Amino acid sequence: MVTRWASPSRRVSALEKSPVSLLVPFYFFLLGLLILFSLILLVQGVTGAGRNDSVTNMLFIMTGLTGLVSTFYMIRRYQLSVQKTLKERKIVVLTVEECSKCSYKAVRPFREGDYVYGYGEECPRCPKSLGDTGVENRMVITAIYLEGGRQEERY
Amino acid sequence: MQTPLFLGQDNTDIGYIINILYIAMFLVLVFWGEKIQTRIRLRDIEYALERLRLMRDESVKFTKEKLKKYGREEINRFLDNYLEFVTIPPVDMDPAGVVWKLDHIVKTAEDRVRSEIKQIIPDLDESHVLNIMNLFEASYALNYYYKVVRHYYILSKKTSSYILIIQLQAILPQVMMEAEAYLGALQAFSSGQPIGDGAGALVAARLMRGGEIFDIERDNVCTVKNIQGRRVYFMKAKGPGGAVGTPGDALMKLSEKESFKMIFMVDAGLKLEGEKTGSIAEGVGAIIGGIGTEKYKIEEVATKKAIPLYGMIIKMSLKEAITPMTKDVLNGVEEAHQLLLKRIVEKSSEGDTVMVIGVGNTMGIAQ
Repeated sequence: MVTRWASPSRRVSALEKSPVSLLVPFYFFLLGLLILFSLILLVQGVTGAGRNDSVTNMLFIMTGLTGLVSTFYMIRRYQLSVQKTLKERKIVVLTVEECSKCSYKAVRPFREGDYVYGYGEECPRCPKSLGDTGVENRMVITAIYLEGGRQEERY
Repeated sequence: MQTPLFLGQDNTDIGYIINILYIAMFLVLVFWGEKIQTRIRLRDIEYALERLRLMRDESVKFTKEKLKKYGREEINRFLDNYLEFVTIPPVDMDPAGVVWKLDHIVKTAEDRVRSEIKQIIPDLDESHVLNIMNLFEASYALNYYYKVVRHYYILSKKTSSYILIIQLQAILPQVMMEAEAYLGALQAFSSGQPIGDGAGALVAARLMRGGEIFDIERDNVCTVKNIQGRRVYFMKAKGPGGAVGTPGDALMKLSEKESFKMIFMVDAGLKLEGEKTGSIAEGVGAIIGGIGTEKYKIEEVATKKAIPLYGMIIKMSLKEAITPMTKDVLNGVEEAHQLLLKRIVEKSSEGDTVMVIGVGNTMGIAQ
């Protein structure tokens, strides 16, 4: 069995998505207003709106552009945060087995019941002796560790 | 040269609207600024609280799912009751002897939980009982975090205390980090995988290989080996169940018949941010965590018999300590193993008796 130890965390992330929150539509409503306002400013700046003052026009254009860029940046950030939450983390725990006779080493996914210095699978290299009690030919588990080396920090 | 006008400074319609908006915003912030900030902070806390509730519910659900295979409905009821279990610490107005009282209370609590699990599932072996206890403790911790944060959230809302809200919001990232770690630990606890905290126990287990193992006191195993003419005792909690043992009790018993020249302790230690996981720090003193009772006993023996206490810490974060052992921690274990053998030879002379204690949760680590 490949152990995906973060399954409760994933389920919490999934559960967090389920309640319909009013905040998200409100957030997008505000972003929509901001886009509209920025567009008006931009159009006014570009057309001049009856003014001959180029500095004011430039300020209108700059403000409109800043508003648009920041709005799209906020939308992108929201998208990325959703993707990060939904991204499934597959973390695999590995078991290292070693044969005490021939030093053969094997690495395989962790199975329930494995423990360090417990017996693993039979050694594929060592021949099975006649009076084998079922343990003699088996390799010893020398390490169990998380694949990838380090834990992902969320904060 | 014409002075450039900013938005709102010109006499256009938009300029008037922006001016009115600025004045309105100024007035709103003057009169309701703190209230708005309080609302924003409370929303952050509410979000964290909801997340904590989900984590607590998920851990309970996960534990119950894992216990389904035993087919006992009582264990679910016991888990629900266990979440509200209280262990009352002893009175410390007169501190003399308080350690022994605390030790007694903690052991009583542990015995009670252990015996009740065994009573519900009689055919369960000792290591599985201990793993279930660890699972229960993770759910207990998550429930406790949720309840404490909820308490302060409601209290700050009731009293409208801005200071209380700021304090609560300030500690929330730390609380959430710890809660995440406990949630991540569930899978390891349920399937009996070695966790980072078992680094000290793994060092001892490696050194114990090939020796004759004997049980000593509650949940401890010990062996004696000869290392370059030194008589070395190696001790750890009895695995592969998730036990931490009682190294203090075991040391007290062993020191009655043996005269130790020195004591070495190896344990997992919390690293500071920026430090490397699996790095080793050497030092002196009783290197052991927990509530302090075992540390007290070890210090008592060492002080009374003037035995030097040496130790080393294998550094890791809290998350790494309670989730499956990482490769970095495993490398630290290998390094500590080699270093310990070197130090035993360096610090002691031939004919000396040395004690080595591998401290930590020995889940998934036999001997």
